[in-house]
Amino acid sequence: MAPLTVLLILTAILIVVLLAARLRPSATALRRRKRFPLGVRLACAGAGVAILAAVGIGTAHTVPASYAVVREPSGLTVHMPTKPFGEVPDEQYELVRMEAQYIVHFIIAEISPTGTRPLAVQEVRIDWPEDRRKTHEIVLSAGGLKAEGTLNIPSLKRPLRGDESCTPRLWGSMSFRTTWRGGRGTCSRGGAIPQAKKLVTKVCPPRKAFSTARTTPTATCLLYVVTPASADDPLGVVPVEELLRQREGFMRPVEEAALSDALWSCFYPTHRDWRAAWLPYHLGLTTTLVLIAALGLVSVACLPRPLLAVGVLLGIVLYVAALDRAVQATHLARLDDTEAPLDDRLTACTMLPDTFFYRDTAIERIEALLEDESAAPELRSLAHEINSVLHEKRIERVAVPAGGEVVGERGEDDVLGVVGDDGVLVLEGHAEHEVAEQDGGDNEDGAGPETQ
Amino acid sequence: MVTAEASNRLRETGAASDLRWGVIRGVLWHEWLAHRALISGCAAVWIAFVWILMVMSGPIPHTVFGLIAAVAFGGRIAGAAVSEGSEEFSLALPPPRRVRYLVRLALGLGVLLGLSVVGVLATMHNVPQALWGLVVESGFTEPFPTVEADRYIWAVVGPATLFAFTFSAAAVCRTRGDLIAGLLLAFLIWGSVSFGGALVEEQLLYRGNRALTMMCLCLVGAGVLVAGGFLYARKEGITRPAGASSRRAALIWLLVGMLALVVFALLALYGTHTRVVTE
Repeated sequence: MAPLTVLLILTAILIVVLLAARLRPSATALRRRKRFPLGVRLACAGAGVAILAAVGIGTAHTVPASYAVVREPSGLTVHMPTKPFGEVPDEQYELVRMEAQYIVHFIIAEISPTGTRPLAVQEVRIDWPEDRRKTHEIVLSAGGLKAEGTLNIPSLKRPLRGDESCTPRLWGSMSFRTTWRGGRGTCSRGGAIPQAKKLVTKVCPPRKAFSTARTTPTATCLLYVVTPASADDPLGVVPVEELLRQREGFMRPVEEAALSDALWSCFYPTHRDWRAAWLPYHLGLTTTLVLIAALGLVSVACLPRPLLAVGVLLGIVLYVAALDRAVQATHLARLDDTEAPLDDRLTACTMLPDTFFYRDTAIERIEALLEDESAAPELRSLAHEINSVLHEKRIERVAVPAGGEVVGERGEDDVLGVVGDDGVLVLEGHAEHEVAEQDGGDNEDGAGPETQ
Repeated sequence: MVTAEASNRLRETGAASDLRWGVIRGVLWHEWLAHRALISGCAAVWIAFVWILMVMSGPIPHTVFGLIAAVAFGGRIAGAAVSEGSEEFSLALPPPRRVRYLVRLALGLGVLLGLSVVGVLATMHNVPQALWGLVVESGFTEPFPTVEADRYIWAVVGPATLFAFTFSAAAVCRTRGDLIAGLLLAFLIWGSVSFGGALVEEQLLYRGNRALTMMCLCLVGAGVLVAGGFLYARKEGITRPAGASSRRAALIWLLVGMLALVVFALLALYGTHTRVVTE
C-alpha cells in the first residue's frame, strides 16, 4: 500500500499545484502564455491514461488469480483418538466422575466455496476430572486474524437426544479477544459448548488496488472442534485436514455459515437500494481513488474546456462498465465449461454476482443453474446459497396496477414499491406485505418478519 | 430636428429594431465571453452530477447545487466589473445600462433556470436511469425514491429567487467590499424571508408545502430585480477603491448573519419542540 499511497499523494499534489498555477498565474506566466504548456498537458493526460491502462491490466490479472488457488496440505498436525470413546453413563454424577480426555482444537481457517484451508491450530487437552478447575489459555494468529482467549470447563452434560456422536457435552465458558487489520472484537460463550462452532469471522478480503474485480470471497474464521477420547487412549498424530474430515458432520454447518457470511458481506451492501452511489462501494476505496486520480490527471489536459472533463468522466464510467462486462463474460465462460474442474466452476459461480452493471445477467444465469438438474450437486447447492443472497437484495421498483391491492397500504392507483419475485411488496419500512393478484388471489394478511 | 428625422427614418425602415437586437447580441456575446468559464464549469458539474454519477438523487441536492450556483452567478455576472474595478470603463461603453442589466439578468437567470428545471424534471422522471439502461442492466438503472413534487418546485424557485437577490445586490454595489457585504446581505434577506415564511406557514397555517412562501419570495424577488434595475440605471459611474471601511462592513454583516442564523435555528428548534409536544 505504501507505494500506492505515495502515488496518490503525489498525484493529488500535482493536481493541486497545477490548478493553483492555473488559477493564480504569475505575472511571468501571464506574459508568456495563459494556459498550461502543451508538454505538461500531454504528460498529465499520459499519466492518467497509464493509470487507466494499469486498472485494466490489474483487473485482467485478478480474474485468473481467483482460479489459481492451489489446495496443498497445510502441514499442521493434531492429536486424535485412536479408538472409540466408549459408553456414556446414564447418570449425571457418574458422567462427571468418569475419567476421559477432551481435546478442543481451536483452528483459524480460511473458508471459501472450494473448501476449508486451515491456517493455524492450537490444541487444548483437558484431562477429566483433573483439569475441571483449570483455565486454559489460547493464543492463535494467522491470516491477519489474532485471537487470545481462555477456556474453562467445570462440568459435563449428557449428550442430547438424537446426537449421533453420543458423546458428553462440555459445560463451561470461553472468551476471546480478537484483532484483525482495521478492527477488533470480543466474543464469549457460556453454558453448553457445542461440538463445533465458528467464533469469529473476518470476511471478504479487501479489493486489490488497480482492479475492478474482486478476488474469491473467503471467510477467515476462528473455530473450534471438540473431540472426546477415552482416558487410556494414547492419541495418534494426524493432519488437521483429517480432523476436519472426521468431524465433517459438525464442520459442515460451520463452513456453510462462514461461507454465507462471506457471500453476504461481499455481495450485499449495507442498504437495500443499489444505486449509482454504490459504485465506490463496489469498486473499493483504493480503486475509486485511483480512478479519481486518473480523472484528475486527464482533466488537467482539458482544463480550458471543463465540458471535456465531463466527457472523460463518462468515458471512465463506461470503461469500468466494459471491464465489468468482460470479467463477467470470463466467469460465465468458465461456469459453462462442463469440462472444467469443479473447483473452477464453483469459483466462477461464486464470482458471477461480482458485478455492478450487469446483475440481471448474473441472476438469470444463477437461476438457470438452479433449474439445471444435470449440474453437479455442489454447484447447485452453491447456486442456491448465492440465489438466496441475490434475491434478498434484488430490488425492482414497479407500479402496482390499478386492480391490485396492497394489504397494509392505503389503496392508491399507483403505489411505487419494491416487489420481489414471489409477489412480496417490500415497502420503505422493510416490512413485507402480500400483494393480491388482480383476479382475486390470496389476500391474507402477509405481514412477515422484518427483513435485514 | 435632424435627429428626429433620422429616428423616424430608422423606424420606418425597421433598422431601429435591427440595431437594438444587434446591441443585445453584442452585449450577450460580451457577457458570454466574460463568464463562459463559470457557466461551462457549472454546466459540467451539473452534467456530471445529474446525468453521469446521478448524485443529485432528490430535491435537497438540487436545492444545494442551485443555491451555490445562484450565489456564484448573481455575484459574478452582475458584479464582475465591480470586482475587477473596471466598471467606470464598462458604464462608459455605448450599450445602455438597461440593456446591459436585462441581458445579464437573462443570461444568469436563463442558465440557472435551465439547469434547475431540466435537472429536476430528469430526476423526477428517472431519465438518467433510462439513458443508462441502454448500456447497462443494473446499478445506474435503479430509480430514485419518489418525493413530493412541491419539494422539487422549491428546488427551482429557491435558487431562482436567491439569484434575484444576489444579482440585484451585486449590480448596485460599487466596491469589492460592498460586493461581499451585498451578497451576504442578499443571502440573509432571502434566508429570512424563506425560512421565516416556512416557519410561519408551518406553525400558524399548518401547511408544509411552502406555497405561500414561494409566492412571497417570487414577488419580493421580482420587486428586488425591478428596484435593482432602477438603481443600476442611476448608479454613479465612479468606483471607489476597496478600503478598510468595506472590510469592516463585511465583518459587521458577517456577525449579523451569524446572529440571524442562531436566532432562526432557535426558532426552528422551538417550533419543532412545540409541534412534537402538541402531537
